[in-house]
Amino acid sequence: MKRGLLATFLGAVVLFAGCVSPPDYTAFREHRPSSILILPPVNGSVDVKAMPAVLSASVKPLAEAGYYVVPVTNMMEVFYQNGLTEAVDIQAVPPEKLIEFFGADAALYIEIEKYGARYMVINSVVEITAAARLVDLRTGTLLWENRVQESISTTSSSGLLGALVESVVQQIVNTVTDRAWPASQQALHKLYLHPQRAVLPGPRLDPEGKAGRSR
Amino acid sequence: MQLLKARGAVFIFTALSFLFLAGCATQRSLYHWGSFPDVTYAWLKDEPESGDVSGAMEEDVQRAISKGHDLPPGFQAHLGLLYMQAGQFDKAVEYWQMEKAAFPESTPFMDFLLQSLQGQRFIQRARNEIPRAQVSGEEAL
Repeated sequence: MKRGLLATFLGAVVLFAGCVSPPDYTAFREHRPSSILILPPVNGSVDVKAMPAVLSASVKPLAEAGYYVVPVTNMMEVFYQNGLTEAVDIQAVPPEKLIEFFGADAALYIEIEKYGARYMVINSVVEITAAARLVDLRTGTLLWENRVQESISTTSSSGLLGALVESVVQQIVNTVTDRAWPASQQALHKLYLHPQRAVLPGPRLDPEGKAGRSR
Repeated sequence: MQLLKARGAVFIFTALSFLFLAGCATQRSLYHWGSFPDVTYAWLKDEPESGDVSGAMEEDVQRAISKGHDLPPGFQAHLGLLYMQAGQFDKAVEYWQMEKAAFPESTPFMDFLLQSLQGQRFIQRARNEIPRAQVSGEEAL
């Protein structure tokens, strides 16, 4: 009897150990945006495809969460035409200008720490690490922030020699097939929509703003 | 007997968890995405275009209509951008107005784009009708 109960209890503890206390959604509830401007992410990796991948992979999760996402290509075209090409400079544009040009309520500031297929001798690992902050443009209030660390192993050989060979091949395959692109979509989906730390649903999914009241 | 009861409890708990998570995962999509994420990624990478991108997007439009699904935010705006870059200004205007109609939140931005386009068309007409030396105001945008 006791052993059985203990097993159940320990099982429950293990299951809930992964749950971090949810973030404070007060500010988010008070400044619920309708439209979100995803600014180009600052790239801290060596892969030039990181910015395009993370920016484009951010659109679908936020749109499906019920927000109007300002068209990122049209947005970049406006920045390019105004002589702004670097994400660092674009992220430094004053909020009033962003409201004026794009009519957005909130902006997403993203930083990419790691991106791409990394050769690790006995493995080729596709990794994406990025952090995002959602800021209310009118008041400068931080509404939400989160970080994702995705690491996908792409080799499966068990013997050492097999692993050495396979990792070289897989690194080339991962690079040529741009394996980091589908991985980005997976990672960004987690960043915005992971159950414990997700963005609140937007007006197109939750018109009366009911969700988040009990959080 | 008690061990069986404990196992039963764990089983029911696990089963309920899976059902709950499965329920969360099957939420219907709000939009028809088609090639849009890949198209966006390709445009941002600024690589030479492979194939007829606007053609592929027009096919997505047809598919969305036939399935009764909505196009995502930015889809029509991007298509307008492609037409603008190809010099097909009338189609650009058409798609930006459709984006505005589908998503009123986009009004300030779409109005800005439509206004800029007006300026560009004015310059284009001016270039065609007036000798080069007299055309000015390119930087005015």
